[in-house]
Amino acid sequence: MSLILLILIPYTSAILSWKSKDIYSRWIAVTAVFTTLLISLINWLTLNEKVKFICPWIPQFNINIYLSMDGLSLTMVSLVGIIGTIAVFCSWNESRKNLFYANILWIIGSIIGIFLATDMLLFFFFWEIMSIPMYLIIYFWGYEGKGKSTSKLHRSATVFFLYTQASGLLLLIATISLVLVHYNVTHNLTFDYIELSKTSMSYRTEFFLMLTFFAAFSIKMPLVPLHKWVVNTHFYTPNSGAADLVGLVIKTAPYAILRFLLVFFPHTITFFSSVAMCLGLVNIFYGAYMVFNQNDIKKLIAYSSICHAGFILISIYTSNLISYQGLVIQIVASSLSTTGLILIASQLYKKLDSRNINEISNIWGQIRWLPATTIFFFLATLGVPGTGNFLGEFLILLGCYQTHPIFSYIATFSLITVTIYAVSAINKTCFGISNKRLISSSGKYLELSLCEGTLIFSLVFFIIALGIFPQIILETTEGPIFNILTSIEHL
Amino acid sequence: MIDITNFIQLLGLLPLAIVGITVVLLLVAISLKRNHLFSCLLTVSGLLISLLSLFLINTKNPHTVAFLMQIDRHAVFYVALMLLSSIVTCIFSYSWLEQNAVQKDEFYLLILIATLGGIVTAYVNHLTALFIGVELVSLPLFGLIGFNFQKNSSLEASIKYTILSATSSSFLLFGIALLYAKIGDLSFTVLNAAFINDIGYHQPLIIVGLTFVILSMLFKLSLMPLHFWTPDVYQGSPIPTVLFLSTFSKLAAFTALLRLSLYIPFLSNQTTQGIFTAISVISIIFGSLMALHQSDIKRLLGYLSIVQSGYLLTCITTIQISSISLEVIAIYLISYLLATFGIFSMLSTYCTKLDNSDYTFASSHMQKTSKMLTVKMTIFVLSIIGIPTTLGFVSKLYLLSMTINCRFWILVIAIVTGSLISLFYYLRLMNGVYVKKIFSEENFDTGMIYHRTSKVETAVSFLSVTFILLLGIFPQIIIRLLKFIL
Repeated sequence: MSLILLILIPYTSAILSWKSKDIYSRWIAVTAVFTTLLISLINWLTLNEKVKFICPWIPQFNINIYLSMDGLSLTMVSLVGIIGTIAVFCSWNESRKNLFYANILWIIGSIIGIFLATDMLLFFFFWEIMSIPMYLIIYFWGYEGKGKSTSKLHRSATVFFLYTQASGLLLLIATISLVLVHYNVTHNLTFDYIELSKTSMSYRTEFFLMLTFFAAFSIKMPLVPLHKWVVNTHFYTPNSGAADLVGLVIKTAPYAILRFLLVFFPHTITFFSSVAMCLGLVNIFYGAYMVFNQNDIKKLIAYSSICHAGFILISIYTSNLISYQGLVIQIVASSLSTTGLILIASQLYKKLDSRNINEISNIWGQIRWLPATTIFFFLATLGVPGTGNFLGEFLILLGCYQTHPIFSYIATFSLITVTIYAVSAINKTCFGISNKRLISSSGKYLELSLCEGTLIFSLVFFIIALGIFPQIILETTEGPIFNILTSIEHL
Repeated sequence: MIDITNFIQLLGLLPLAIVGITVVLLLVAISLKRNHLFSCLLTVSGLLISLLSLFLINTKNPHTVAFLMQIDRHAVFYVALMLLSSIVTCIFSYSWLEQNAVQKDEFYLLILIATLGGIVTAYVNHLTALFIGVELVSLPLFGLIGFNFQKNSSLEASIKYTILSATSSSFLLFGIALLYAKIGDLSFTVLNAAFINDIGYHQPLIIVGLTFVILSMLFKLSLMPLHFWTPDVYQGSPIPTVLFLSTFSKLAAFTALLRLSLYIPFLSNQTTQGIFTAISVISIIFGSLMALHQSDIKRLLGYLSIVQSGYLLTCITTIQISSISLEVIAIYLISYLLATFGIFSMLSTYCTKLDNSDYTFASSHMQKTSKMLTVKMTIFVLSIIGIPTTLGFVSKLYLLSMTINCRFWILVIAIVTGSLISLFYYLRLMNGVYVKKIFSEENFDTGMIYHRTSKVETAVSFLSVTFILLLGIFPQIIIRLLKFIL
């Protein structure tokens, strides 16, 4: 029951907040995200029972509203709860609030749905439905850029929608094909994940189906030739910080690969793993290379998240318990640190009216707490020991070394490139030439408000806690990861 | 004594008879006294009664009426769809006629006559009836397209359509003649027998004759090599006529082709399947590509109509191999009709007085004046794109399942590419309602945007939205319904 509530609460409150007045809508949103967070936290207490919810949806095709939650889903859902709460709070003063909050809640509901769905069509449903509110947010509330017309913004919204639709259509075709293959073998029409994972098929079919699924997921991931939408989306999403949801949207892809792709097509892993790892390496180094050239802080964040996606992809194809645990930590930690950077970027924009890294300089000592946290989040993205990111990368590389040592060697070098960009970004923002903007801006002392400070410091807290006490997540996710591994290895 | 079985057979013709009587009544009414509202009400009520009379028809066992027509479940279903689109056209045309036309009542007359033809094409079981039906649909269209005859573009479109349509009719007639020369009978049953006995594929006359017949159908459906008339005619026609063209006339042509391919199994042949696949693929892809750069909304709708016909043709291509293709067609048509009604309700609200209708047609005050309209438009466009929770998604799901199940991978690729390309202009269409500063100030003064919608129009678009969402969220309703009907 609690599972359906997790989805229904965001959706219903989305409609409520859309229909209500501006002042109430934000409180509706706050209540909704807090309840979702609370429900997911309650689930941590009763973890051992496997929670399920089944209710028929389209009985003719045996499609059910089938939700289930294990440790992996629970971790992801809690992450959605935390980041969703931050998204709601940091867009406190957005224009046309009611519609804005409706969109945000709609995205949160869909992402939670993706992490809970056990029926493939239901999964596709959430996967697809997530793109509309995102599109609307970019379209209406997006950041136009200095002196640029809205047409560019609108085009980038369209491009975003195009990419997600391409991904959705590929996913739909792959799902239907898989279901039909299953039907032709067993004469049992079903979209159930567990049933479908037992499908037997020829290697050729398996390979092509896997490629279709992989293509669908790699658009969302994003893998390098298909990464443009993430950069655009990060760039054009509103400055207030609601963009941290993008960080979550792209985390659905690794989850989907881990949960569906590997389990459905285990025979292809041995062959495909080296290809995928090469793609992952390309992602890492291309992302790191592109970060050097960026002046816009949001684009910098986007490319660094592409970099993280490479690490995540490599770890997915190691088929190794340690690496998978590192993967979960890395997903959580990189979402949190990206969120932190986005918050910082929105604060800097608010205070200094610029997102150009060359214009934001020498803020050290100017705004209370902000420079220190800026440095912290940059260090977190590069993976300094003590943060969750370090632990994630370390476990991934450790696990990868056992199965694919060469890829592990090469990937280790990325730590250097990442360090270069992070340090240079720190240098440019916090130190460097003295800043004219700060001095000229009306002479009053710029400060973080209480709300902003709390948000940023809670993120700092989460990242450090993850680095020091990862055990709670490791224990929670061990069971489901072990299940995935056994289903891969018991061919 | 009247034969009871004969009477039951004739009952099947009741909708036809009712529409015919309405035509006569309307003629009398017009000649006595012109009253626009009365004509509209008379037409709509005649069509409604005809729609209701469909319930009286016994569809359990298909029966033929006077050799020419066969009454079965499919026929009744398509007649219902056609009557529905006629009714909606009448409703939407009322306000347009009120503002723009000199002669108002004749519009309804033409629509009624075309409806007669449409019903005949749905019942068709004989090539003669096919010809009668197709001609009855296309002749009134000459008038409907040129109804705005003060305007040169409308006249031009009308003449274009007249000439091309006459050419296609002569193709049809020529094809029928060739078939008759070889077989000596025009009934579908005999033609069917000819194909089942496998002589059909080896007789040049039959092949050429059938090709001519199908070509003329493809022309009416505006499929790719024969599509050139569509954008021009759509651009020149008045808005209610565009609605009529893209719903009713397409339905009629499609039903004719559907019955042809249901009863004459020429599509079980690999070659014909290949040709049909090629036609639908190029219609979908090139239609979408050409729609990209249109700035006139009616012209855009013309290209969209080509694309939609391409999708429909994919269903016909698989009709002999796939068991669900009839269901797919039905769901596709329903979702297409609902979304088209919706989009035209928006158009007729905001473009009634616009001469050169611009792409982004919406008013700058839309957000302020009516939030509801924005939401409706968004839902309609999302349904056409095929986003989950709308009926369009269900039809997309069906369409893709069918093509994947038949292993027509080329069609799958075409559908995917087509829907990706189409995103560009559908999104532009949707954003049209959001975009501000479209009309200059003087346009506001003439009041062209603040055209009041009638309650009925709002009700139609509201009903469309409700059905799209309801059937999209609970598709089992429509699936069960179709199992029952078909």
